[in-house]
Amino acid sequence: MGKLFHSEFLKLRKSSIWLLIFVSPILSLLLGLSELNKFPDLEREQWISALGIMTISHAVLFLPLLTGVFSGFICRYEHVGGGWKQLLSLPVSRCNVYFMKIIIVSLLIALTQLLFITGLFIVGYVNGYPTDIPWSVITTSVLGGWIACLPLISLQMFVSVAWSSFAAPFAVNVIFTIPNILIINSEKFSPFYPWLQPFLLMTPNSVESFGAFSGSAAQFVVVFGSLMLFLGSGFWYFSRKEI
Amino acid sequence: MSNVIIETNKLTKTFGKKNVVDNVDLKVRQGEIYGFLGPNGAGKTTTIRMLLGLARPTKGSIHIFGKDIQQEKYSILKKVGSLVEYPSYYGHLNAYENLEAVRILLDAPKSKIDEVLSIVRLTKEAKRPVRGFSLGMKQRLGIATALLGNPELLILDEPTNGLDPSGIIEIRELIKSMPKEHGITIIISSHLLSEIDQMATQVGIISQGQMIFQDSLSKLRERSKSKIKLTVNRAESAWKTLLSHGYTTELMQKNLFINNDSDDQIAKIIKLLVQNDFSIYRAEEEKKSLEEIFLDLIGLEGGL
Ligand SMILES: Nc1ncnc2c1ncn2[C@@H]1O[C@H](COP(=O)(O)OP(=O)(O)OP(=O)(O)O)[C@@H](O)[C@H]1O
Ligand SMILES: [Mg+2]
Repeated sequence: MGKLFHSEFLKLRKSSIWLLIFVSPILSLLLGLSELNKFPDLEREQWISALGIMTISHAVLFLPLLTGVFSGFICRYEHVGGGWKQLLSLPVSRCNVYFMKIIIVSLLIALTQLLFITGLFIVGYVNGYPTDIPWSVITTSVLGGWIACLPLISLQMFVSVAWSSFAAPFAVNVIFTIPNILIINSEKFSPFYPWLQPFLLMTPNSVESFGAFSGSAAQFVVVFGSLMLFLGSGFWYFSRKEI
Repeated sequence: MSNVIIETNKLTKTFGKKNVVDNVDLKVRQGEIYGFLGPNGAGKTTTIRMLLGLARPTKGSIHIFGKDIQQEKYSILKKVGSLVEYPSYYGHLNAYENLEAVRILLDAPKSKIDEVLSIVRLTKEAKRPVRGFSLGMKQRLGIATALLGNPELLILDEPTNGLDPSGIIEIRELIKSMPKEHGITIIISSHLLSEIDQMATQVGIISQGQMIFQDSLSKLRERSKSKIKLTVNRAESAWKTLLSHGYTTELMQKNLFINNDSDDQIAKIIKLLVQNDFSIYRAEEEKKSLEEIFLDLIGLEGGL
C-alpha cells in the first residue's frame, strides 16, 4: 500500500489538477470578507455565522463537483496512455489500486477542507473576531463535510473507472449536484439526498449544539448507506473489469 | 527437456458467441524465444491479456512458472515484464518519472532506471514529457518499462510496432541477446513471419483463435517442399513428351516444375529430355519462402 501511495503521489504531483484544492477555499474566503458577512450578531456567534456563510458557496456546489473532478482526473491519465493495463500487469492487487485512488481523492478533499478553515481564520483575524474560537463547531463542520464527500467520491470513482471519457463521469456528477439548489429548500427531501449532505453536515447549527454533528439519524444512514453501496459496487466492478 | 515456463490448457475466450481464442494449448520452455504469429484479429493480444491476468479465460487454464495464474497472480507477475498492444505511458510525466512510477511498485533499485534507459537509447530524452514522444520513442519506453523488474519472462505484443528500421534491428538484437545473457524466456507476437524468423527459436501460429502450428522454426522450414524448376526450349512440347512417357509435371510460365521426390526420377526426366533433343538451359531447386508457408497455413483456415 505504501508503494502504491508513493507511485500514485508521483503521478498526481506532476499533474496540475491538485491546484484545484485552492479554488473553493479562496472563493469562500472572499465571500467571508465581503459585505454579505456583516451581521451585527452576538459576539460569540460571529465565527459561526461566518462559517455558515462561507459554507454555502463551498459545500453546495464546489465540494460535490470537486469529488468528481478529482476522481475523473486521477483515472484520466490511466485511460489516456493505456496506464491501466501496465499498472494491473504489475504485481499489485486490483483492490489496493482502487482503494488507493479513493484515498488520494479523499486526501485532496481533506486538504481543501483544511484550506477552507484557514480561510475562516483569516476572515476572523481581519474582522477581529473574539479569540475564543469555537473549535468543536468548526471541527465537526469540516470533518462532517469531508465524511459526506466519501460516498460521492466512491460513486465518481466507479463511473470514472468504468468510462474512459472524462466528460461522461463529469456529466453524471453535474446532473446529481445541480438539483442541490432546489432540494436545499425542501425539509422533507434534503436529508435523503447524498449530494446535499456535504452542505448539511457542514452547516453549523449554533453554539449550543456544541460539536454534536448537526445531522439527523436519517442523514447518517444516507451517508454511510450510500458509501457502502457505491464503494462495494465500485470494488466489485473494478476487480472483474477486463482491461 | 528444459522447464516449461508458460503452459495453457484448452485456453478459450468467448466474446458474444465467437471463440476469439479457441482451445489454445500454448507451451513455452525456458530460454526460448517464442514467436507468436497470426494475422490481424487472430487472437494474439487476447491470449496475451489472459496470460497477464488482465482478462479472464472463459475456459481453460494458464500455468506460468508452474503456478496457476488465477491463484498465484502476484508471485507470477513479479517475474514478468510485459508490453501489450501499444505502449503505456503517462503523458504528463517525463520518461524518467514514468519509469520511476513503475520502479516504486516493483521495488527495483533506482540505478535500474538509468540502465534500462540506456538499453533502449532514451537517456538523452529522459527529461522530456512523454506526451511529446514519437510512437517509436514511446515503444522504446514501453520496452524499458518491461525490463525494469529484472523479469524472468518477457511478454511482448508486437514490440517493433512503430519503430524505424534501425530501431527494429536494435530491438531484435536486444531480444536475441537476452536469453543468452540472462536466461530470460521471451514470447513475442507479430503478424510478420519474416520478423519472427530472425529471432525466434519456436513458433506458434494462431489463426481465427486456433493454434494451427506449434513447433520449432526448423520444423516449419521442413514443411516447405521444394520443387525442381527446369527451363527448356519448347516447354510445351517438352511437357507433352514427358507426359507421354508417364511423367506428370507442371507447366508454368514456360517452365517445368517437378516434385522433388526422388533424385532418380529427376535424373530420368532430364535424360529423357536430352535424348529428345530439348535444350535444358537451367535446372534449379525452388523453395517456398517461410512467408509463403505461413500464408498457406493461415490460408487453409480461411485466412485474412
Ligand atoms: N473486448 C472485446 N469484445 C469483443 N470482441 C473483441 C474484444 N477484444 C477483442 N475482440 C475480438 O477478438 C478478435 C481477436 O482480437 P485480438 O486483439 O486478440 O487480435 P490480434 O491477434 O492481437 O490482432 P492484431 O494483429 O490486429 O493485433 C478480434 O476479432 C476482435 O475483434
Ligand atoms: Mg494485437
